[in-house]
Amino acid sequence: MIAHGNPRYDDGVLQSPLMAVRSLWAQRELIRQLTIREVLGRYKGSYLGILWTFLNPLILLSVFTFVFGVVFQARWGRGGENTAQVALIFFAGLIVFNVFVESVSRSPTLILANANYVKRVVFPLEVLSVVVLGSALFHALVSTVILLVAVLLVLGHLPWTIVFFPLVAVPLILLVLGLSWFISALGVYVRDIGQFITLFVTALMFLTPIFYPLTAIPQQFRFIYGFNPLSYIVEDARRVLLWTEFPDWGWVLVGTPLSALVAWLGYAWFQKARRGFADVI
Amino acid sequence: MSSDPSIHVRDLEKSFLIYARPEDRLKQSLFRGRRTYYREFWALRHISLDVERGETVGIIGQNGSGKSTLLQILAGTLRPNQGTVIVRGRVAAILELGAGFNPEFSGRENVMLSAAIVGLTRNEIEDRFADIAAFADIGDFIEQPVKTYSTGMYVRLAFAVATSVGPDVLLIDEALAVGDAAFQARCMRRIIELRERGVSILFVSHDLEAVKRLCDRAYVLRRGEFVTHGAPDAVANWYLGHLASGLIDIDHQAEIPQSAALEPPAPPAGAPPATSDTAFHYFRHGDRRGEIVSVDVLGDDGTRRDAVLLGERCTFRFRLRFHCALPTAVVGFYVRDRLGTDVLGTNTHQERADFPGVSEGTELEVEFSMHLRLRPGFYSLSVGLAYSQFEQRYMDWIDNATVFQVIDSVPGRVVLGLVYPETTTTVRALATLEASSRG
Repeated sequence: MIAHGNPRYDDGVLQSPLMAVRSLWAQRELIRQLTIREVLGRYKGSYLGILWTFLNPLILLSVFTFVFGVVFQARWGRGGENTAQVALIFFAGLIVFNVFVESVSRSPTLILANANYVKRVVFPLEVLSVVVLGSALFHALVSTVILLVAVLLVLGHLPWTIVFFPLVAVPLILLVLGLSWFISALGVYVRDIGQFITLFVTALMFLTPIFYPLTAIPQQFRFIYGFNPLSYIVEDARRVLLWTEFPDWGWVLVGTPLSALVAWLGYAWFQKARRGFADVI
Repeated sequence: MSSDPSIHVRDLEKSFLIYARPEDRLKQSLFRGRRTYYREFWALRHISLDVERGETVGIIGQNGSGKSTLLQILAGTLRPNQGTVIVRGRVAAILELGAGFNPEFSGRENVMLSAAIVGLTRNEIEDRFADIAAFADIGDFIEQPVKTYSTGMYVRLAFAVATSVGPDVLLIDEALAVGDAAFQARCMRRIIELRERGVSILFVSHDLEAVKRLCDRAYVLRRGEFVTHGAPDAVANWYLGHLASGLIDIDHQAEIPQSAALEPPAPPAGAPPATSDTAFHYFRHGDRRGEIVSVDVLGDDGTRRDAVLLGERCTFRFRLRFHCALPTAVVGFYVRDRLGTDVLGTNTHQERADFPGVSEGTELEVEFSMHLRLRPGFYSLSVGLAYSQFEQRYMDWIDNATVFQVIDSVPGRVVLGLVYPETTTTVRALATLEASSRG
């Protein structure tokens, strides 16, 4: 039997979800510090520094506009009648997808890269996934602000439905968190997982309706997208941020608890697997 | 808080699997259970330990004895294979030199981060920062990346953080060995402060002096097992003795015959209590291939004595029994005063005594006779039986085997030094100079 004054030293005993939330909340100061460091650290030593956070999405948005609008002459159909509007649609989808990519593709090496925290100090390793997500969310927030400015310029108004954006974001956050916990713990034992994730993420980028509407998919294949939660989230993001439409309430009601379940399973898996981290690393 | 121990360990076991080749690890996971490709290395076995609230416990052991593994398990960075581990309250650990510090971050950033790792809120951290910086006392370096720090600065900061985050349990691994005397003194004061506040401290070191000064109890860890424990002085002496006689490294240490022929002496009436700093601590070590069976102090009349008169001719008589054949051996003794000073001592080699060859079962009696002209007080007699004068290998060594008193039969006489030699004192008048002759 093992009991430790430190609540995170739990010997794989499954905490209740409430205890898990409470324990993460207790780590908020650590999460805050590490996230700030993560965000600032990315551009440390560069001349433009934090400005890159704004430049990245801005440049990306410009390139999109050019490639898809001018070169491909892409049209969306509903709500994407001109080049600028199409670029905004792509951009909105990418914001959502980037949160997923940033977190998930870093997860396989997340624990390995922080071996110090495993072996040399008592560290709540589960916050590492939260920190990576936090940094991704920060970048998404900056991109969203840029998107909204562009929306204002292109459409001439801001859709009031952006107040529903948090409802759209919650399933994304929970989903990504759960996957990140799951993959990062697995990555300690199975190092090949990194290769697989790279492939998986690239494939998913094209299998998620980011650069095309869901309606462009032949009816007989459309069910595949039903299994991709990102497709719901991407669609919803565009609805509330661009088209002044309500999110898909069905998805919000079903997807939110499902994502919470994913997060919980990921967390439980992580806590179970972390017992062996120090022995393997 | 309850009166439950802060650290409670029962039957703890930890082993590491050693693979000769990396591919063996893979094979093992493929043929799990059917064949073993690893060698199991037991880092800790049969470890039981309780540390009460406010208690400071030292763990002594050589490198590789499992000290650090034990601390890591208590800190929560390693998990045991088996056993009970209960640690109550907030744990702060100085596990390795500046562990957990990120070399790229400044001292300030590392302090903030370390405090956050322990779970302090932002306000708490800000409240304590000044205190931490003051204790570490590294000046403007606090704003510099930690990678630019000297070892001493590293430890100062690590120690300052660990002791300032309000721990209930503090684990210290060797950290105090670094740093200058002034800083070490400050660390000692801080540790004593924490102890008074009820913090339980587990202190791992091979600095025996620090263990003696700080700890309430001490354990000796050898090859992953506790071999002895008790009062820090006694344990430190035991350890030193075994270290000197090479026994710590000999595999068959557990097979030493534990003869009960000599028990720690009951101190004569009026002797200093066994707990004081100046007490004569009994400890015994050696391979016991020859044993000291009895130790006696005899007076001039040949009777056994607890006390002898200053200047009386007295005899130290030692009986020996051998369990092996040897061409020769050496027996010697020290007389030690209350402050631990070896006042006098000699041995059979020194005295050119003819020491006969012995065989298994041989018993010998050795006597040293002399006029003991020592300052009145309590003295102890330590006796050693060694293979030769020139190597420090003991068959048997008994530190403070017995205690006796020297008393002065001359009332009112004060002995000013340690020794009162037989002195002839003459005072002779030479001349009387007249005062007027000087002018």
